[in-house]
Amino acid sequence: MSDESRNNGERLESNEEIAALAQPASRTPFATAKRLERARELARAFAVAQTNASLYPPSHPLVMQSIVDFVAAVTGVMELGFEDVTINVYKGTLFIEDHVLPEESVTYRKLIQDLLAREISAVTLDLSFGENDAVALVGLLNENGISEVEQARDFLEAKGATGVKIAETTDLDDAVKEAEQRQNKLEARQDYDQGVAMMRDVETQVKLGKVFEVGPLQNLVGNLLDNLFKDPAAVLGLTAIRSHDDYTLNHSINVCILSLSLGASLGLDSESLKSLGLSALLYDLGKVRIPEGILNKEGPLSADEWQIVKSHASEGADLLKRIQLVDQMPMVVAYEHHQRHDMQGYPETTSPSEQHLFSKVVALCDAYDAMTTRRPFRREIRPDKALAVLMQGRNKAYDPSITKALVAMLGIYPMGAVVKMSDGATGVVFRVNRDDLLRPRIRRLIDASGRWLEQPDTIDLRLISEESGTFSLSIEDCIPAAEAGIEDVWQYL
Amino acid sequence: MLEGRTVDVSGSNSPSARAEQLLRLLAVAANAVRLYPSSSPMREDAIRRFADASTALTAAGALQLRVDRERFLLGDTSVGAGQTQVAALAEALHALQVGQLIIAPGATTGEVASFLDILGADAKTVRGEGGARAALIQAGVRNIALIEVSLRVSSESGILGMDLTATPLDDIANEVQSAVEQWSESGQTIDDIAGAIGGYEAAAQELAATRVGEALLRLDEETRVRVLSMAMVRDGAGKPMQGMLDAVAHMKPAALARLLKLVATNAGEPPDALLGMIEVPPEVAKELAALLRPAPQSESDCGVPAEADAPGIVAEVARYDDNDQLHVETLVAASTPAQLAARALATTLQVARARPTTDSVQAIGDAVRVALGRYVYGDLGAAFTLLAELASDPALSASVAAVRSSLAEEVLDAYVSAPADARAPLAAEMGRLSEVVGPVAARMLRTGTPEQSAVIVELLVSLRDKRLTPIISQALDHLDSNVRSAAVTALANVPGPESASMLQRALAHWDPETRRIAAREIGRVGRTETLPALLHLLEEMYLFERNYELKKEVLKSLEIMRPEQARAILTRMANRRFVIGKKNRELRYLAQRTLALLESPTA
Repeated sequence: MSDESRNNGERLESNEEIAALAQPASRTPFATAKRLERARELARAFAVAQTNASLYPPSHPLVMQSIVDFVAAVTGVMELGFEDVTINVYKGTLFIEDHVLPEESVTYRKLIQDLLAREISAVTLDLSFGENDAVALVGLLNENGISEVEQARDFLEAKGATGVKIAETTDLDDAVKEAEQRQNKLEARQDYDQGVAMMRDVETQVKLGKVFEVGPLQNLVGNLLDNLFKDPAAVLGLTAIRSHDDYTLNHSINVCILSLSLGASLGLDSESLKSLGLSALLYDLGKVRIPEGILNKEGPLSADEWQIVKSHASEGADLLKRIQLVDQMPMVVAYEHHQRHDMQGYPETTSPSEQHLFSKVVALCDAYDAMTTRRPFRREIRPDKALAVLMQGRNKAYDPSITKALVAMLGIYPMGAVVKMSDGATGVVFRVNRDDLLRPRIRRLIDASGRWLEQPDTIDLRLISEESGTFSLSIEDCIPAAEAGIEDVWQYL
Repeated sequence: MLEGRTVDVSGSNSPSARAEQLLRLLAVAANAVRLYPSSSPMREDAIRRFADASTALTAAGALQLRVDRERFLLGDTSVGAGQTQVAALAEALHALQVGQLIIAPGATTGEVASFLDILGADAKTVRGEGGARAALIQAGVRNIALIEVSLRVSSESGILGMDLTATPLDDIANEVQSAVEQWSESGQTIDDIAGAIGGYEAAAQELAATRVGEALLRLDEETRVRVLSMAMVRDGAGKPMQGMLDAVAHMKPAALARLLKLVATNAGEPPDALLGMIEVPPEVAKELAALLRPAPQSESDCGVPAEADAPGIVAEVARYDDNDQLHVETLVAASTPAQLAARALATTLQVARARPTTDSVQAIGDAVRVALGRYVYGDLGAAFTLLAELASDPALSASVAAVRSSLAEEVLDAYVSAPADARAPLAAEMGRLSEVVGPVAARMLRTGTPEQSAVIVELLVSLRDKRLTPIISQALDHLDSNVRSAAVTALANVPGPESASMLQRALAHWDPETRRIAAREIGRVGRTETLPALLHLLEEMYLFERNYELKKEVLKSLEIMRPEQARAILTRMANRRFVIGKKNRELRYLAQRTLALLESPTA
């Protein structure tokens, strides 16, 4: 991979950002308009202070006022719960923390240029940030003799600035991070493959009428959960793995991963997540009692066949009822996962009057993964359309709030989605940007002429073009991977 | 990163172990050169370590390694297989078209640094400027040598002279295009791709064909489609350009499906029209067919919208507000172990009704146990009822009996240990289990503490099951007076004819203390149905037993209860003129006082 492409994808992937991947967009610091306004005000105040300081002497009332405003803007952001806030410059685009500011990236171009001219790509302001720090920081940007980050640090130190820190994101950081991510990805994949093997074993045991062991499955869920907390993207990316031959096995692991991610974003504790994960692995176990001819039938099902298919929920509960001394949740979820949010599904029941939270979560993740996988009777459905179907089903089949949380977690174009971009190139969604669900980071695989690239590169669709002042690239369309001729998208994540 | 790490350069005597150690150090140095600036001490340190190690480890002679795509070979032995860093090193050398790496004794740090600079440079640029070997020589490196592989396997021109297993894919792509054009221009007589692939030994043909297939993807799509379209034109004998089709068959199914679809569309044929022309293994053929043939159900059949309103969805998701948050938090808060136990019991019962098996019976037992542990009693009655129903099935009766008796034990334990306010709901659910509760209760009465016995008696009486009467009687006959006392209190607390009858029995108990307690408790609770027995006690005259204390308790109870039926006997007692003894006078006084209360306007 070239340095250029290495710089592209990972530069902003701080630990905080990785942790934020498990959070729905609504929980990111600047998710609401009011909060975002504070971030924008900070960028504005910083730029105005710098401009005024470059035009007038330090004692000029305008300079003094803009310094006061700058400090107030920092305080305003801190009030949102920050202990420090970082202003990032990435590929000429301005970010507060990991939230892109497209307009400000154009309006305050000089601020960005002055920062980059001093090798500064990150300015971190902490709770102690005061007027002296502000004066030193704007002074630094108006000091022409400084062109390196070390000199800039010396300057701030000499001015006694203690509430501000500057940094340069280095290629070294990227390389180390990339190596870590590669390792995490491999570990997650090992768990995935192990999970498929375990589920195959469970399926075999159940078909033979034997008892299966729950312990190894619990360990598997524990490992997936550990990896999810360590590197959410590495685990969530696994759901891009599709197998048409082992559909049920891969599907159960995918649903498990999606459920764990969604459960984590909903704020479930670790023990609950483990129970949710185990339930998500086993909720469809009843299908082993459904003839494969019916499950994989290409044409429409007859009424009798449909009744048989519907019985998989109670069959699953029947198979799982004897593990309830270990965990009761799998049986409950197996029984309830098709009952729907409005309780108009199956099996019919008079009580309880509402699906359990875990059943709601698993039902959503099941539907999403099933829709986005090719089946003998239909092609895979594009992720964005699958999410649209789920959103349409809110309040009916699916819980509205949890559906929104799922979309916020996955993004409109989830990891592994294949997209066509405005320049004609085709790529795979590499990471979802929480602050802009329509503008993920893309691994570009095929150029506009249809030529496969020797080394895929990564593009952040949030980035602003210096020339046009608008987004450099956008997604034109989302297409099924197979239609684009792309196999095994996981390898590109 | 490297600081503090010590490297054992003595190594093993095994040549492959020595080679592996050296390669590992070289890989570390290569990484350091890639990661750290030239001024970094870490970089220098890594280079020095490798140089020192190479001197030590090659003392017996130069180390000569073959470079494979992702590994090194020492003779026929793979070195460093499975080690990511070593594999990356092999990959980097392979990209430079290096076939062999030779490390001679005495490599200096300067030489190592120069070698690593070349290794880290852009492979295309190095190749374009004469290759890695030339660059190394130009840098004055003497003790590290590289032998490049020739990309041409023979002096023949075009694809025939190309090493298809190693040449960069872009180069192969160009030659593939030329070969297909030649097939077309020669009137479908010259198939150089078949010749090029066929020139390899059998084991390598697969790799060569795969790489030709991969190389096709390096062409733009229009050219790719044109190339395959030309290759499919048949010769005089009706055969297409087989070499090309063999290579295409090695493409990944998705890419191949797209290519075939485009070629077919160009030719005005259905997407799966060309499937039969490509020989692929059956599983690939199945996959291709699935990708190319129309699906039985369209998206609209499945209710999928023609287009996803992405901005609309984003706007909707952005409206995730406090209500959503509150709703989710409520759901999370409601997901308690108790709620789960209740739900699991209900589910178990549903499943058991649909599939009544011994497993289901066991599962009911399991679900009840968990529910008891979490003080969830809601569906216990339904569970006991279902067990009772299932007991009539001969196939299940034995397992039901076993489960019921073990549950009886656990239910009684749970009842005794439950907080006082949680007992009533549990007792309410236990009616269908009373027949099996009896023996367990009897045992617990024998062995339990007075407090536990009292609780059990309270439960037994509240179950209002005549079959339990002997057990309650057993409590009244308990040797421990405290148990008897607790049993009487429990009986008094539980309304109903059974408990009334038992209390009357207690009034005639052999133990005077128990009789007194019974009289007192009747008054405390106001069990009027026992009045006849109480009044009878006042009239009794025992020659051999002085029952002043009992009568005193009875009079005190009557004072509390103030029953009209007592007027006659109270009047008689109150009007006695001649009484002997202090205790009899006290009884008369109590009777007068109670009578006065009865006659008062507020009585």
